Amino acid sequence: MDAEKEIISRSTKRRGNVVLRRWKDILFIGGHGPEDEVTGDPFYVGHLGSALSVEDGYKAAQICGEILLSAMDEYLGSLDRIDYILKAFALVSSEPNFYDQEKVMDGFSDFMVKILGDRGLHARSVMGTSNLPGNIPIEIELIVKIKE
Amino acid sequence: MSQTDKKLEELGIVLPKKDRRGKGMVAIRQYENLLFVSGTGPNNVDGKPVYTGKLGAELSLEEGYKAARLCGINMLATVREYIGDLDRVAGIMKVFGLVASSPDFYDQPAVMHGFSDLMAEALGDRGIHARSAMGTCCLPGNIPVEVEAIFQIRG
Repeated sequence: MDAEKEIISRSTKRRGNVVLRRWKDILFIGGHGPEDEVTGDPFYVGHLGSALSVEDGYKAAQICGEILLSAMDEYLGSLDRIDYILKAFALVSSEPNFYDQEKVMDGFSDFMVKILGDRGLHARSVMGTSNLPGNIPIEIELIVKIKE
Repeated sequence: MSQTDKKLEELGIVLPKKDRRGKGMVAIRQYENLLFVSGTGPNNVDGKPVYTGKLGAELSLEEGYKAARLCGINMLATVREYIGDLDRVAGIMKVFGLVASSPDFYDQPAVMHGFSDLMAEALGDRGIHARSAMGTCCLPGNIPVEVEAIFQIRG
């Protein structure tokens, strides 16, 4: 399948590439961290509750949002084609006694509403986890409703 | 009173009135006749957790079961507020349950039965669902259980 080949070759070239798959008017977007889209190098590393503060985590979540929007812009040609953000799932790398994952993820949610208005409102689940790939502090996956 | 509300009354279940969320997230986003319901915790009406702590440490299996059941009650309240009448629920498609666990706790499914049993009691066959349950080190607000779901509704 050509589309699949293209995705694989792009993700090989660009280690930080955001992977999107489309079904009808729904986009499934693979989990992405605060990592450079080309090199894959993380802008933040470490756990919330030790290396990173809530403020750091909030900023990292916003960077995830910027990267995901930029990938959608590239894929769709325009962010106007986003109908609304349907669902966000966030993994927050956390020390065992860190419980402010929601405040960290607000960095993403606030940003979505700032850029997209009501179209940025989304259902959301947030969880802490002991470790994430490359020691990134947060990873966010999305389901997005697009306009045909 | 709807059939589902009658059933809830028989079961002695009172659904809380108000959901707490604001800002960038909403309790439910709809796609066609599917409702994507945000991660829901064992909170009281004011959004304060009724249960806190981890399974295998501060909380027993029974407490975890009750916490998961409360997640379910809160979720039904959220869905009813959104669609007006739980008789409009056609089915629950998929449930994902997160259980805050000490590293040697392995009974996450038994905890999640609290949610699944409630849905089967309240909704009958409509409450049966595909489900995944996982343990994790820590959940927001130190809640022991968080559940998200995808509901199907009748147009």
